[in-house]
Amino acid sequence: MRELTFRGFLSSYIKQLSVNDTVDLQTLAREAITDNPRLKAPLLLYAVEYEKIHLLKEKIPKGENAAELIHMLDALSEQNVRDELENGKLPEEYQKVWNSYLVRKNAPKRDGDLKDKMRDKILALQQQKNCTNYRIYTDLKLNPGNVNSWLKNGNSAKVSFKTAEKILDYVAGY
Amino acid sequence: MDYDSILDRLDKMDVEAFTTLDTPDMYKMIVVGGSGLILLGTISRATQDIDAIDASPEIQHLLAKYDANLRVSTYINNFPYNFEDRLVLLPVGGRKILFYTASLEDIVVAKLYSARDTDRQDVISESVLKKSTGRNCGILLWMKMRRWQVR
Repeated sequence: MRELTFRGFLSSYIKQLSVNDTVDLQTLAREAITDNPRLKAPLLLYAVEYEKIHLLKEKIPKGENAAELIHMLDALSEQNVRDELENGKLPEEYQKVWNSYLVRKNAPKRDGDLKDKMRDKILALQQQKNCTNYRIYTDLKLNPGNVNSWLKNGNSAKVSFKTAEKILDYVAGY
Repeated sequence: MDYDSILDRLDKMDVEAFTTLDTPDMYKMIVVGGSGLILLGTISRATQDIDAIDASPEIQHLLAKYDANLRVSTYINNFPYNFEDRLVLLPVGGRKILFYTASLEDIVVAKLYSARDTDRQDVISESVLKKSTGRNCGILLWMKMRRWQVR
């Protein structure tokens, strides 16, 4: 699976945040300064990442909060944004976006590690409760080969996360 | 991130607590903010992080990994003093962590108290106001009577 990039994350995030489900800068700028202030920080980061700072500035409609958005954009464009984000030096509204990106990017590894922890817990519980693999795959109607491959050999690809959870809950309640 | 995605992340946090904390104790986390409103079914907007106003100390090291945080706990005074009497238990977890949200009324009060435009946006949401129908909720009925406006 391809690793999630910050650009890719921002692109999808601002589209989700937008009430118009768009990445059109003019529409996003208008939303950000009127009824969707949540868009501001992600939109500015998007403009920086995609080198669209000047374009975004042109698209910001005149209005009550336009000056504030332009000021935020100017402040951001003077910095090495990536470095500042990685070192936790930008204001909280930008760091939140960056932190969310890191969590999303690291989710596959996090979930893989969690599956390993689940296996360790299941094996420990099986010993305590004398619960066999046979009992697990029979009562849960799971594929015996896959269950054995995971529990005996640690082959994590053989069971999904949901199935691993089912097994964990079953053995915990045995 | 929608309702199912938030629940999925909370569930994984619970699994991790269950597989790594070797104590007989149960722990607690109270979700508020936008995630709280999403979990209460009143709004469905995008949000990435999960704001918690309280989490047992033993599980706090897990929060960042699941994009949850306790930043909003500094605004605890925005909540009614007895908001914990009205917590809503969430249908997730329960192996090691019990997850709650603050009640709709308490989240709305806290957001009204906030100076942030982003909090105001959630509160004036039509679906939040509609949810007050038939409930004896002073603050939400007051808002409906006043036809609460953004500007």
